[in-house]
Amino acid sequence: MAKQKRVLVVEDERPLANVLKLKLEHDGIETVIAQNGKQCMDALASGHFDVILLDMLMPVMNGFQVLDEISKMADKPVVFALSNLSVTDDQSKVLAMGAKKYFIKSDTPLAVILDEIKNA
Amino acid sequence: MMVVLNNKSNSSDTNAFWREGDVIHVRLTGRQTAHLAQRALVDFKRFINDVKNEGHEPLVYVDLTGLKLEDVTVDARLAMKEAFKQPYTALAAVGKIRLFEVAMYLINASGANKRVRYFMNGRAAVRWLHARQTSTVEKLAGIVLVAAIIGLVGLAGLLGWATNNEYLSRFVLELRPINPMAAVSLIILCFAIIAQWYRQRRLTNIAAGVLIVIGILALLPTNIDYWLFGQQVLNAGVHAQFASSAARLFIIIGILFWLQWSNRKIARLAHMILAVIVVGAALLNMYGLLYAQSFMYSLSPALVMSLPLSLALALCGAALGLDKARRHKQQNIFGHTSRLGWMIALILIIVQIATYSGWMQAVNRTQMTSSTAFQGRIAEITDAAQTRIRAYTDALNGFRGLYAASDYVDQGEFEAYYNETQLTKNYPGVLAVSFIAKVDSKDLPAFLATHRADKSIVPDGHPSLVIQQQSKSQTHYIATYIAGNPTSTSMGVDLTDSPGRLAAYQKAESTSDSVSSGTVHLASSNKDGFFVTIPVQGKHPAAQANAPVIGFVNVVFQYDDLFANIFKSASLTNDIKLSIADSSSSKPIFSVNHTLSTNQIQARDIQIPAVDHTWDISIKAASDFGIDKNASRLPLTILFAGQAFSVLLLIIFLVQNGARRRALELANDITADLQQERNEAIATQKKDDTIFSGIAEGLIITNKNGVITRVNEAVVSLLGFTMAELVGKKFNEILLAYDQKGVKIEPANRPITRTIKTGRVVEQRLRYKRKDGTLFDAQLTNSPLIIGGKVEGAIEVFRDITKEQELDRAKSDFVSLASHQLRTPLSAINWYSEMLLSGDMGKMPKAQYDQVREIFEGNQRMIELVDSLLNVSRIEVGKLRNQAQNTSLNELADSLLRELDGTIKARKINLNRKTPSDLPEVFADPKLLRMILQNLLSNAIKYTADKGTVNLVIRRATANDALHAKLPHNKPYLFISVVDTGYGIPKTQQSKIFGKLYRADNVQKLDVEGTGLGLYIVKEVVDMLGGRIWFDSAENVGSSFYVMIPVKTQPS
Repeated sequence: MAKQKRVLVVEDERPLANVLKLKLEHDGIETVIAQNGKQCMDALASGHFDVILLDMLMPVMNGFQVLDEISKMADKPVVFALSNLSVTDDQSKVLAMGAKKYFIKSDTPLAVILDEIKNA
Repeated sequence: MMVVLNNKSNSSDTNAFWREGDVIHVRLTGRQTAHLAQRALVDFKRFINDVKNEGHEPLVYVDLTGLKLEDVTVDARLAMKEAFKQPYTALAAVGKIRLFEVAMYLINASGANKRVRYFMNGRAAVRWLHARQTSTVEKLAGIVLVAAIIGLVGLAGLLGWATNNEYLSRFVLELRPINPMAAVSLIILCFAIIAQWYRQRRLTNIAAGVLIVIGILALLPTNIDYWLFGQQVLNAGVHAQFASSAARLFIIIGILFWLQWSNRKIARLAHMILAVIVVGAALLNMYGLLYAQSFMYSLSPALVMSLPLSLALALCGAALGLDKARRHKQQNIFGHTSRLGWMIALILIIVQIATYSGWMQAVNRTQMTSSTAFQGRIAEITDAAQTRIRAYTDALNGFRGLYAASDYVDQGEFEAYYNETQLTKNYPGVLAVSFIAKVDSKDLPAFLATHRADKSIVPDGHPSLVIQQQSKSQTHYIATYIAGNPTSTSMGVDLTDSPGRLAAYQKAESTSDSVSSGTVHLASSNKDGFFVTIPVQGKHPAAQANAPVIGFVNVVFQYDDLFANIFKSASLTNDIKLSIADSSSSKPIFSVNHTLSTNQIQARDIQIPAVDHTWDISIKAASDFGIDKNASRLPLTILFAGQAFSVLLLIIFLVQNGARRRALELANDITADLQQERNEAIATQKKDDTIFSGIAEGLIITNKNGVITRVNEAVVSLLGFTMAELVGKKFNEILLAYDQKGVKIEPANRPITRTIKTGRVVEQRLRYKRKDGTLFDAQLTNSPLIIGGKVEGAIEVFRDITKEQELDRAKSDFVSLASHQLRTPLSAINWYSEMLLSGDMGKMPKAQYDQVREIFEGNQRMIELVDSLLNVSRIEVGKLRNQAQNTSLNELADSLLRELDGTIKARKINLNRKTPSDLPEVFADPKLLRMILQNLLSNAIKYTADKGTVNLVIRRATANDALHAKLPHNKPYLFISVVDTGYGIPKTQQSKIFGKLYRADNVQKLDVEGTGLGLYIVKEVVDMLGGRIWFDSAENVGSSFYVMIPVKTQPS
C-alpha cells in the first residue's frame, strides 16, 4: 500500500476549501487548509506536503507568489493550480512557474482532482 | 537706369520699388505682413499712375524670387489680387516654381490672365514685357502707315494734276493718270481710316458717307471729275475720267466703314466679302495695268482704274478687312505670323517686284529684237523694190538710146531692140511696149509714106497704113510700132484724143522724163496696171539734152506680175502684211494679206518713187516679228513663273500661318486646360490639406531617403515637435523609437526603413519619444509611397495606443474578474452536489438523489453558459489566442466521448466513431480544438432523438476536400465530420446558424437546452485556425457538419 499523501489545500473561499478537504479526507488523504499564501508558506515550513492544491487569487499572498517561493525550495511538492481565471496567459504562466496542472474549478469534477492527486 | 529708389533705406521694410523707363520693378522679400502688403499696394498704384500720366504704357516686373510660400500671407494675397487688377499694360511675375500655383490662382482670381505671365526666368520675363510694348507700337505703326500711304497717293495725284507732273498722277508714264476727284476721295479715305482707328464713330461715318456720295455721283452721267481740273481732264482723254470701277469700290469702302461697327454675324460676313471684293478688284486692275494684260481688266471696261488708285484701294480694303478680323478675334491675325512667316511675306513682295521687272526687261528686249528684225525686213523690201524699178527704168531708157543713136528707127530696128532686150520676158509685168510718134499735121503724108514703105519686117511693107481716128489738133500722137506684133491693126491710130494720153505726152515732153499714168484698168488682161510714157528724142549728141522729142515709148505694166517679180527676192514671208497704193489713189494696187500671230502689230509706211509717182508701201508685222516662238514666250513665261511662285509662297505663308495659328490655339487650349486642371488640383490639394490636417492620427511622409517631407497637425500634437522641426530632417534623427522593453530601435529596423526597403506595408507597435522626452505606445502602419512603380518614400500613420491599451486591459480585467466571481459559487454548487451524488456523504433516497442530480445538471449548464460567454467575449475583444502545440485529435475525442458517455448511454444514441489511430497530430491550441469537437458532438447528441445515430469521422483530407472547401491545396488538412440523424435545420434558417445566440425554430420548440453560442464559437475558432466549416442538413433527416483544420496552424 502506497504511502498516504499529505495534501495542502490553499484556498481563501472557505466552502470550496471545505468540500475539497471533505472529498480528500473521505478518500483517506490527510488534508490541511491554508487560507492564503502566507499560511501556505507557513504550513510548508512546518511540515512536508506531497501535493498542493493552489488557488491563484488570494489575499495577503497570491498563488503566483507562492509558486515563486516554492520554486526556490529544495523539496518541491507537486502543485496543482486551481483557479477560476481561465485567461490563457495565466495558465501558461502558471505552468511555466512549476505547477503540474492548471484546473478551472468550475469545469473540473472533484473526481478528476482526486485522480490527479492519487497519480501524482 | 534707376530713376526712383524707394523703401530701400528702411531696413524694416524689405519690399523695393523702382523704375527703369516704363518698366516698374517690384521686389517682394520676406514675410508680407498686413502693413507691408498694404504699403506695397499703395506704392504700386502710385507708380502705375505716374507712368500713365506721362502718357506711357506701364510695364511691371515683379520679382518674387525672395519670397517663400509661407511669406505669402492672407494679406499679401489680397493685396496681390488687387494689384493684378491695376491698369498696367503687362505684368511679368518672376518667382520660384513653388509660388507658381499661388500666383496663378491670384492671377486667375483677379481676371488679369491676359496681361500677366508668370516666369521662372527673369530674362524671359523682360523679353516678354518688351514684346508686349513693341507689339502695340507695331499695330499703331501699321494703321498709320496705311493711312499715310493712301493719303499721300491722293495728295500726289492732286499735285500731279496741278503741276502737270505726270509722274505724280500716273506713277508709270505709259499708264493712265489718277482722276483728281478720285484723289480727293483717297484723302477723305485716309481721314476715315484715322478716325476709325481712334474709334471716332461719327467722324468715320460722315467720311464714309462722303465717299459713297462721291461714288454715286461718279456713276451718274455727271461730270463730277471735271470739277477740279475740268479742261485738263477733258484734254487728257477718256483714260483720265473717274473710272466707274473706282466709283463702285468707293461706295463699297464706305459701306465697309459702316459695317465696321456691327458685330453681328451677318455684318461680319458681309464685311469680309466686301473687303475681299475691294482687294481682288483693285489687285486685278493693278496687275492688268502693270502687265498690260488686257484680258485681266477687259473683263469689264468698268474695271480700269489708274495704278495709284488701285494700289491705294487694295491697301485700304486689306487694312479694313484685317482690322475688323483683328478686332473681332481680339487679336492681331498676323500675331500668329512667325519670323519665318514674315520672311516668306517679304520674299513674296520681292518676287512680285522681280517678276514685274523681269517681265518688263523681257518685253523690252523682245520688242527691240522684233523691231530690229522688222526694220531689216523693211529695208530688204525697199531695196528690192528700188533695185527692180531701177532695172526697169534702165531697160526702158534703152529705147531712148536707140532713138538718140540713129536718124530713123525703122520697124525692124525697133522690133530687133525689143527682141534683144526680151522686155516682157526679163521684166515681168511689162505687158506691151509701143512707139508713139509725135507728128505735126503737115508732116502726116511724109509719115505715112515712110512707114508704108517700111519693109524691114513685113516684106510688102504697110501699103494700107492710114491714120485712124485722126485728131483735129495740130500735133498728132500716132501709135507706130507695137512691139512683138508688127502687123497690129492698132498701127496708125491717132491717140491724141484718147483720154489722159495727151497730158501724159505733153508732161513727158516738157519734163523730158518718164510719166506714169496711174492706175488704169487693162482691158486686155482684165487686171489693173499702168502705163509709163518715155519721151524719145531724135538723133542728137549726148551733150545736147534739149533735142526735140520725136515720140514716146509707151510701156504697159500689169501690177500683179510686176510686184510678184519685184518681191521675188525679198521674202514676203507669211508673218507680214503688205499693201501698196499709188500716190494718185488710196486704192491698194497690191497687197499681201497674211494672218498675223497676234493682234499686237508693228507697222511701217514707206514711200518708193515709181516713175513720176510714188508708191506708198504699208508693212505690218506682229509685235513678236522675227522672234522665235520660245523667245516670244519669254515675258509671259517669266510672268507666269513669277506669279506661280508667288502663289506657292502665298500658300506656304497661309499654311505656315495656319499651322502656327492652330498650334498656338492648341497651345492656348492646352494651357487653359492645364490651368483648369491646376486650379482643380489646387482645390483638390486644399481639400487634401484639410483632410490631411483633419486626420486625428499622426501622418508622416518621407522620401526614399527617409527625409520627412510632410507631417500633419496630429503629429505635432502627438510628438510635441513643430512642423518646421520635423520637415526636412531624416526621420531617425528627430523621431526616436523604442521597443516595449525600452531598447532603442535601430534605424534599419524602423518600419519606415523596412517599408522603403521592401515596398511592403509594415505594421508595428513601438514607443515613440516626444520632444519633452516622455514615451508613449504607438501603433504604426507604414505604407510605401509608390510613384511610377518605384518606391519613392513611405507614408506612416500612427496613433497613441496608451488609452486603447488601458481600455483593453480594463476589459480583460473585467472578463477575468467576472468569470472568477461567477465561477466560484458555481464551483461550490458543482462540487457539493457532486459529493452528494457520489455517495461519499452517504446514500440518499432515490427522490433526493434525483433532485440533487437536477441541481448538478442545472449547474453544469450554467457553467457551460459562462464558459461560452467568456469565449464569445474573448473572441470579441480579440483575446482568443492560438497557443499551438501538437495535439492528438484521437485523445481529444477519447476525452470528449468519455465526458459525454453518460448522456449517450442515457439517450441510447448509437455513436459510431471512425478515427484512425495513425492520424497526424495537429499543431494547434488543444483548447480550441476541444471547443470545436465538443460543440459539434454535443449538438449532434442534443439535437438527435433517442436511439438516433451520430457518426464521428476524422481523417486526412484529400486534395478534393481542399478543393471543395476552397482552401489552398498545398497544405495538409484534417477532415472532421459529425453526422447525425437528428431534427435537422430548416432550409430557411440554414444561413443563420453560425450567428450569435441563434437557435433554429424547430429545436426551440423541443425541450432541449442550448445557448445558441456553440456554432458561433466553432465558426470563429475554425476561421481563426485557418480552416473551414460547412454543413448539409434536412429537417427530420439530420445534419452533417464538416470541418477542415490545417495540420499546422499559425500560433497567435
